[in-house]
Amino acid sequence: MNASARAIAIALPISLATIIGVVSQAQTTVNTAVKGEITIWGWKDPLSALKLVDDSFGKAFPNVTLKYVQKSAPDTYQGLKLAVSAGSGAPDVVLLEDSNLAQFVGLGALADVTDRTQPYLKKMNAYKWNAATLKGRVYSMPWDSGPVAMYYRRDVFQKAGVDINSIKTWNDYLSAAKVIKAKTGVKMLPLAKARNDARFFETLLWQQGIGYTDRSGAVILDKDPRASLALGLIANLYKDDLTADFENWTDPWYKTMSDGQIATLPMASWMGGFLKGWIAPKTAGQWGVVPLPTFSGSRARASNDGGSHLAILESSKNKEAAWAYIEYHLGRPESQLTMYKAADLFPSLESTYSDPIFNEPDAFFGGQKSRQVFAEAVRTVSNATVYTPDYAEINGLVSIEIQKLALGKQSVSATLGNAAKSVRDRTRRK
Amino acid sequence: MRSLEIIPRPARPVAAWQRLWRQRWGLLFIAPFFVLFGVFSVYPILFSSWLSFREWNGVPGKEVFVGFENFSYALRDNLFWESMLNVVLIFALHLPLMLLVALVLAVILNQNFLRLQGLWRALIFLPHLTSMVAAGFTFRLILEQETGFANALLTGLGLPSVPWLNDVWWARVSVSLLLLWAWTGYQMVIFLSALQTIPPELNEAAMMDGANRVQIFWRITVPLLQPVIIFCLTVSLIGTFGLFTEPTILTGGGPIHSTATPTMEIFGNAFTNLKYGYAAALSYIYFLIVVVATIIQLRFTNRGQA
Amino acid sequence: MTRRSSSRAAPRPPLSQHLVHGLIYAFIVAICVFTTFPFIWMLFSSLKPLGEIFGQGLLPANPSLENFRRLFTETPALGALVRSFLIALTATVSSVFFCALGGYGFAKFRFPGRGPLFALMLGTMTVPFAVMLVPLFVMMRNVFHWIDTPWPLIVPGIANAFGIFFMRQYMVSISDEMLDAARIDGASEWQIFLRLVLPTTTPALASLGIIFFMGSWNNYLWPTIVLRDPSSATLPVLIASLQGDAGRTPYDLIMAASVVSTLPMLIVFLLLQRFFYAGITAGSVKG
Repeated sequence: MNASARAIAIALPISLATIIGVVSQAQTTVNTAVKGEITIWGWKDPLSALKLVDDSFGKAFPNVTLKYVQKSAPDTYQGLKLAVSAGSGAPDVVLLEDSNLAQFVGLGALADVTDRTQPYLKKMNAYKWNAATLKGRVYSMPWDSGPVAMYYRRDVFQKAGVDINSIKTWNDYLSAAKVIKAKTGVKMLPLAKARNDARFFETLLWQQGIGYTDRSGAVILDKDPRASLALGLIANLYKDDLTADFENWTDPWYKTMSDGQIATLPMASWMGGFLKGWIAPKTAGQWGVVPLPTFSGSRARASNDGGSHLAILESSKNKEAAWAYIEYHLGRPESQLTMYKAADLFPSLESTYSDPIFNEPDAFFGGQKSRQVFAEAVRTVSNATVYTPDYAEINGLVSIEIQKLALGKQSVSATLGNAAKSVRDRTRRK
Repeated sequence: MRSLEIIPRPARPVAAWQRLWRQRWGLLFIAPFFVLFGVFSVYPILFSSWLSFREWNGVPGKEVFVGFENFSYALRDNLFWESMLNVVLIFALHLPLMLLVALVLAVILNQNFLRLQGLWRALIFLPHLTSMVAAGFTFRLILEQETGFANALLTGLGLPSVPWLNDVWWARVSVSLLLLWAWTGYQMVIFLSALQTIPPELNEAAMMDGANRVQIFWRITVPLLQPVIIFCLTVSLIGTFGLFTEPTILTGGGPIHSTATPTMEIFGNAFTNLKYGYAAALSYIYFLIVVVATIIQLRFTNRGQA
Repeated sequence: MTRRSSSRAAPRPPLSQHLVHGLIYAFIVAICVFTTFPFIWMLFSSLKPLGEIFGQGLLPANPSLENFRRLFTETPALGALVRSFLIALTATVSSVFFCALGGYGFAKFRFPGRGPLFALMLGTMTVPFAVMLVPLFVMMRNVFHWIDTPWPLIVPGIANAFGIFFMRQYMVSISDEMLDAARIDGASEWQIFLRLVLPTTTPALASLGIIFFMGSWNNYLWPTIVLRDPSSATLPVLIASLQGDAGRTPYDLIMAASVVSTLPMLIVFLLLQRFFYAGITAGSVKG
């Protein structure tokens, strides 16, 4: 219970710690020294999760009042960019997806929390710090991770007579896809062609430990053989017509899952919550989860897609209270577990994985201990940097080239070459 | 004061001031426009040119002078030039058809036998009143490949369904369709009011000479309406080059960037990618091209007229 | 009217004439179906639950105003509606006033540089808005601090070249004798403009006002840049931002909001049709 108070004492710069001696005294009970109102920006579901912890936060920090401003994710980012460049109107705390985090770090919008996050460096999934770090300084606190595994339809596999455990590599996956399609007519996975958003490609890159660029920032799409492995797999899936061509996050796409039109879904942990909650609640019991198949020559079975952080704005007048809030909500296993249970935001905080909930069978997944699959996956996600400051732009450019590939307009190597060229031209990288 | 002004003064500058003072009302009345024009147009345009030589992420004080770098990148920015090509293609896809349909409709609505003219005119004009955001979403849902009404109708008639928003060319057709929907009525109303200024005796005389309706349309109506046609052409040209809302809502610029427009490129570079300097350079190049295109178009149509 | 009676006399064999007329009616009706169908589809969809919107059927199975109730309780649509109206009204009244002023200045006064100034003004109409996008935004943000306020949608638009041109065309025909008579009666130029010129040009003001109102009501590009907070959005900006959040796009709310944004313009149009037509045609025919 007092982990957070202790953490604050450790994290505080010495000068502050001596001034606020109360912190160490009030370890077990209440902190009245940190006070003031803080404003928090974020979108609907995560905000309601955060609010679940507010009662106990209010008891620990009675003098901190919270003001939530709910916007959609795009509005949050646009509003933040505006506030940063206008020099006013920014909140104290903001919710940022990993994919958008680095852009704001690059803008100099976020407060340096290197010292404050020190106690958590080893406690969080190591790869989460990548997007939060610039030149050795840390600018945000990880909340949730997006470990990727493969959801699959038990009923479809059974009907096709394919054993899910026989799929060890992506080549196995391709062969199984052909069998399943031949026997049941069901496509292996939903993967848009003209509306491809490059997220699956990113998942496959990340699985192999790379992003679009290397550590020096140079584009590696046309240089690293792992990029051609990833895109080659996608091209093969298209070539043999093993994909259902629906744009992500549209109704026909949801329908593929609720109506059993797809056999697998290689996606992140948060997708399980969506499936269960509103996409396909009626398919309960028919799903299972396994780790991703491997690429030849590699044993990596995990990847990441998405995830989020909380950050303090550099302009915040009350960084103490803001950090108290962030630490209480994200640094305590109790808080993280409350939010995980309610909103399926997979904790980046590794000490939570020993909680009994990770060993509970989930009826939606046919009684499988599905959370265990993700907990194991998340610990092996590699340290790749997909989410660069210009990630949104690169993602858009690469999507265009993958769309051309999907529509049969260019080969795998041409796609990688063209993508690399347009990323270099646009982002002025090497 | 008044008497002083009336007394003629020998000194020339004073006389000039006097003249100006007597003419002050006209200048005063047009002054608000030029003051606001200076503040909200001239200054931004000058600021933009200053910006186009800099790299800037929008944070005040972080501007970095980069010389002509933005322009040299812009010249080999495929996406930007593709967006130029896209609007040219969308223009070519919808404009001839729109002009023809609008003209034919105007001629028909100008016929005396037709009843309920006001109703037809209103119904055809109606789309022009709609916000393109509302219309864009509606079209997006109607044209949705799997669940949209358009394909339900086509398959119901035994025709193959069409990848309206999922194919490079069909997506351009879809944007053109939205433009046709929104602007045909507008052009028709303009043509109709121009037609009503043509003396009916002209058509009657032609008919007496044995000309049929089609001949009258091409030989008399179209030539007489030429100035108005050129007006509509110019408005459409500038409008199509400046397309933003329609493709943003309907297609998001896709697939494969096939419906992205220069304005979307400028917008994205500025507000999504936070490259204000680059966006300013793009907008200058774009401006230049629009001016040249308009001049070419006017030259071309004027020559045709002569 | 004379035209009607005269062309009715044109000799035509009745049978083929009926056929031609029938075809023409069919053509017109087909076009009208094309132009009105999206409205009907929008309206019907706004009465359906989300799942049914993707059902390919046209008529709602159980029409309900639930989407509208949710739109006004779960989103700031009411504020956006009121804001859109107030902004459009303020922008329209102020721009029409200043356009009339400028148009009157160009039409009825002689002053040095009138010709070149008029030409310069007309020339500004060819500057595409995209050129101003970035600098104007930066100006609104860092100089005026007008982001998330209505002012960027009102003030820069007051300087409207098209409007001044439009008003000038009307005001040229005001009789000089009438103006001079008023001057002799001792009226100031300002009084003449307010009491004499404005009242005599009411139809033109109404036409121009309607064009401006429609433009402001439906505008999206500029508002989406300067209105960043949902609590300051106009209707089109709000509608577009409804699709923003992850998860299922709320097309039910989007369709309801689209109806809310379309309906007022339709009502204004039905009441003031002739001003719409006049406003739209004036620019082309007289130009």
